[in-house]
Amino acid sequence: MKKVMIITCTCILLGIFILIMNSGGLLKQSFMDGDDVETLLRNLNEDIVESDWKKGQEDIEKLKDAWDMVSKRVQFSVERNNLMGIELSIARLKGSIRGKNKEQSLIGYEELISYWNNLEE
Amino acid sequence: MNESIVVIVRGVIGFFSLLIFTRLLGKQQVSQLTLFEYILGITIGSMASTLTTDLSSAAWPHWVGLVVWATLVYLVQVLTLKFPVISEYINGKPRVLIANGKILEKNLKKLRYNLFELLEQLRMNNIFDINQVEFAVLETNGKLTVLKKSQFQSLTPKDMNLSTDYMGLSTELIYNGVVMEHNLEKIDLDEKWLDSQLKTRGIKNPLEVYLAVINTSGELYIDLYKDHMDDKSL
Repeated sequence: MKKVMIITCTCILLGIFILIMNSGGLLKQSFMDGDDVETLLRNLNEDIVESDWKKGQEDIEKLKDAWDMVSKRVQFSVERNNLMGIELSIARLKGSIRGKNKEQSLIGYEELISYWNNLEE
Repeated sequence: MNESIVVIVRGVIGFFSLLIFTRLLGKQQVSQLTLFEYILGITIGSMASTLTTDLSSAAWPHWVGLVVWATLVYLVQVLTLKFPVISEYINGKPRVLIANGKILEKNLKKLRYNLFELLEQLRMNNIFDINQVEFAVLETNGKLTVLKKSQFQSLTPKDMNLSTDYMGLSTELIYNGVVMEHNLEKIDLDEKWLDSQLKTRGIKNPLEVYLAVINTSGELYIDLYKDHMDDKSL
């Protein structure tokens, strides 16, 4: 009985470790209001394509807040470079939206999407 | 990114993973490890430390590396147990360095072992005169096993035809002031008996005792917290 308990606890512990290390894909999903990065990225894309810079500035701020929430959850399972990459992409995108530069905004957006998609890998 | 918290979480994962894997890989002591096992240990430990502090890469690949190495070590251990030939290939085999009192220079050369290292190892076996050695074998863990010439071997009770009493393992009765009841039960004794033994030695409470053990002859050894010794003189 004691041996079974030890083996079970060990397996559970290893299971928890595996879950923590692979939880990036799951934890980047939205769980509450204001942390839906996917939707905000889609909105931002529309804003840039339609050159709606006012709404774009609002959406990038919302995206920044959403990312702050998500990054706290996924930080245990992803690479630091990816987290820093997303931070920098958001900052760059923020600047290009403020400068109303469509070309730079699209480049920044694609970069951000690329980092976001690679986050779970 | 809160790096400290990430390092703490990854540290916990690395620590307990290493603990679990090393428990699975047996209980050999460092002195019993072969050179190969020693290097394996260093590599696995290095992976666990990278898993903890290298935040530039995700923890998962390092953990998988840890699992792969631990699994391979386990498989090699199983194979060496079943097939002595593989064991000999991986761990090497013991080599005779002194046979019938004569140093085998060829074997020393093969092992890249010099005379001074041999003499040092002999001294570590309490042999300061090479004349006393009949055989010396270098084991796979790097230790030298020595067989002294018969005239230099210690005298045993058997040589003197003396009968000796059985000497088994001692049993702990009190540790850190706590009476170990299950150990008392094992040897058919009870707390009452222990109390009376303590009282005869002027001990009022088991809490005063750091360690109490009883040997198979029924002799009690008691060590108190207060040793009444001047620490400065030690």
